[in-house]
Amino acid sequence: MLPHWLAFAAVLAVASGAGAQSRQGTVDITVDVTPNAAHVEERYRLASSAAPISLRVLTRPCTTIENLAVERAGSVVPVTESRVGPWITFRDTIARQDDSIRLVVRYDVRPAGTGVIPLVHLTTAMTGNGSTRAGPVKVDVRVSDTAARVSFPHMTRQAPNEWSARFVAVPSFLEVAGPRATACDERAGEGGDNGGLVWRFFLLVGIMVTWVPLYLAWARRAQDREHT
Amino acid sequence: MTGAHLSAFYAIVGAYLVLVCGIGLRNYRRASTEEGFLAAGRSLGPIIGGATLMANQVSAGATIGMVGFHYFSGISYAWTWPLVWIGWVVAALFVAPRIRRIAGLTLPDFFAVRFESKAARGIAALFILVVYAVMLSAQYQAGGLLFGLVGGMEYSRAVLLVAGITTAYTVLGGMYSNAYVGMLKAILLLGSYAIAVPWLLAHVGSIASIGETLTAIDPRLSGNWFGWRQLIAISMAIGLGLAASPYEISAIYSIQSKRATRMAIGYSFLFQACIGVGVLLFGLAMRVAMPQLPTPDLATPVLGMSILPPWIGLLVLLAAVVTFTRTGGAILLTVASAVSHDIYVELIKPAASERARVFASRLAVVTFSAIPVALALRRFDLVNFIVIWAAKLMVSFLFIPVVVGLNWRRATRTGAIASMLGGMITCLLWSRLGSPYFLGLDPAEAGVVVSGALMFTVSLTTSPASAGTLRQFFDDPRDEHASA
Repeated sequence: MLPHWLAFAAVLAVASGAGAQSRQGTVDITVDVTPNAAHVEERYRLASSAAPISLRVLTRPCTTIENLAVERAGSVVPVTESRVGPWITFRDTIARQDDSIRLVVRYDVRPAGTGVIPLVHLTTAMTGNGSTRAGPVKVDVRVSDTAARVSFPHMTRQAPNEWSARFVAVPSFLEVAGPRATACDERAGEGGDNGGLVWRFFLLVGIMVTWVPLYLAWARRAQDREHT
Repeated sequence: MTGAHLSAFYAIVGAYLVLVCGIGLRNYRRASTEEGFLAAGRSLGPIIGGATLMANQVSAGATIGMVGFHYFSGISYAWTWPLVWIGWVVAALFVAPRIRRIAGLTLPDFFAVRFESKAARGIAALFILVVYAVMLSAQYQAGGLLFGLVGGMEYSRAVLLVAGITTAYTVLGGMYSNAYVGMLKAILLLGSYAIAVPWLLAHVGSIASIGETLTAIDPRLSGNWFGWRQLIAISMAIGLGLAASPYEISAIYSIQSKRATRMAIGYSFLFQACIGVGVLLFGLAMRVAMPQLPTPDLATPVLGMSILPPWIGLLVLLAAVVTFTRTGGAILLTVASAVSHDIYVELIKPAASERARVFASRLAVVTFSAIPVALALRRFDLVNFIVIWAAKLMVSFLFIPVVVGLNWRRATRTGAIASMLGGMITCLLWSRLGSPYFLGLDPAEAGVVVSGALMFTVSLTTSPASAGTLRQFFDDPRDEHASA
């Protein structure tokens, strides 16, 4: 059995390890949204690292990711693709040591009309080299339909068809809401392995929901007994 | 966060500061006696009392630290809520009804009366001073982190601002302020979570879809990151620690009656359940929405600042600000009472006038707000780890002397002192041994075992308390014969 303090130490190591392995730098993401597709370009400036690049994206039932290309210092990088649950991971097959890394990731999302646009992100945490408040990740979204708006996460409208925001990490996805959104059942993709989260969650809520009235009933009865 | 939102954030924090100072000023006169300042004149009803008990427990460790814990370790830590409630049931059954028999103001009052010992009072007061200063530093650290991230404020200034807010209303209204700000905290937490959680789930996905996403990252996130032994050890430290916790005992002294106290514990469960589910869903949903945060403690600030729509985000951030300032206020009041009431009034100047006592309490609030600031500026660890570590020391030191002292007539002064010191020293030494721990016992478990063994063995070999003292706590005459 894992001793408790060792587990805490392990947890801390995981938390701090994310920082230790993280690539200090910045990310600029531009998303062009049309009614039927979205084109995403992500430009990473990372500190030197000997570790191979590993990128990940959260797929959603109503979207597909196409034409993904990764460029490093202007040349195309071959990547391998693997899928676990809704996540697709892309790994750089060649490890190199550069002074700094300039990475460009381009891909298309279809159909974008459903509004969900997954964003590819590094599998290690980004740490900012500037203010954490401003964040090292800048996201700009241009929509072809001015009636459309970015509904997730919170972004600021800069012009009728332009939205932008800064984050401390890359969001898994953006959601663009607009009148042209096509219908799609986001729940259709459910039914995979949730690891028992659903029954654990409802068991926990069930215990809480039962506990409170039971306790209050006991507290009232205990007082009545004392009075009599 | 844009300039307009930043201004809105500071505007609502300013409004909150004005409101809590208003609450403090409104209660300034009522808090002009020592009983008024430290125990709200024993006037709190079950709902305000329940909010007060909840507000003491749900600290920055929950709204910042636990969200971060769920972010990196998934659902399993949420089981500590019902497990911690076992500690509250212990409090309702074995602590609250008996401890209210003496008109005490602080936990060391109980030690002084039950064990007829100034030394026990002094040791307990000193312990509270040290451990609560560390716990208070966790609240300030969380506040510094949040203001730094959201408002772009320099960390040290942010810590000073949080300490300033906390000190201001506590020094003005004492326990009255803490009780009403506790109610405000309950309303804000429940209100903001009730709006934010459904909004978040509508965008991030259902519980099932979150489960699929997290399981693919690491199956332990939707299962058991922490094993049951670990969860029980943490919950025992927090829950049983709460049953004998000085600030919860002070809150119990402040509630109108025994019945109101029992009901208040029930209402506190209700508040905690809603907050526990909200905190869990925040952490899990944030791991899906932004899986690579630089540190898990950023989950709540980033949620409020960058994910939620501005007005919902501001509510969540304000609720977090209220959380650490309010819990900070309760801790500060407990630390101050240990100094002003237990050390100054009871040990140094028993003849002090009522006015001098209240002045000493207010002075102690201001003075002892500074020590945790110095600790918070050093930023020791993740917020929740600080809270857990302080809880482990607390349960090792206080649980056995309080619960056994209230329920076993034969418990003696020497037994209590040996139990307190032995439990604390064991907890500290056990943690120094490093992992894997000897016999697989957590430092808190080892501390409680040694504390209990010392209490029983030493008490049985020393003289019991006088009959007059025992009559205050035990009313069954048959027990008196048995002890004689």
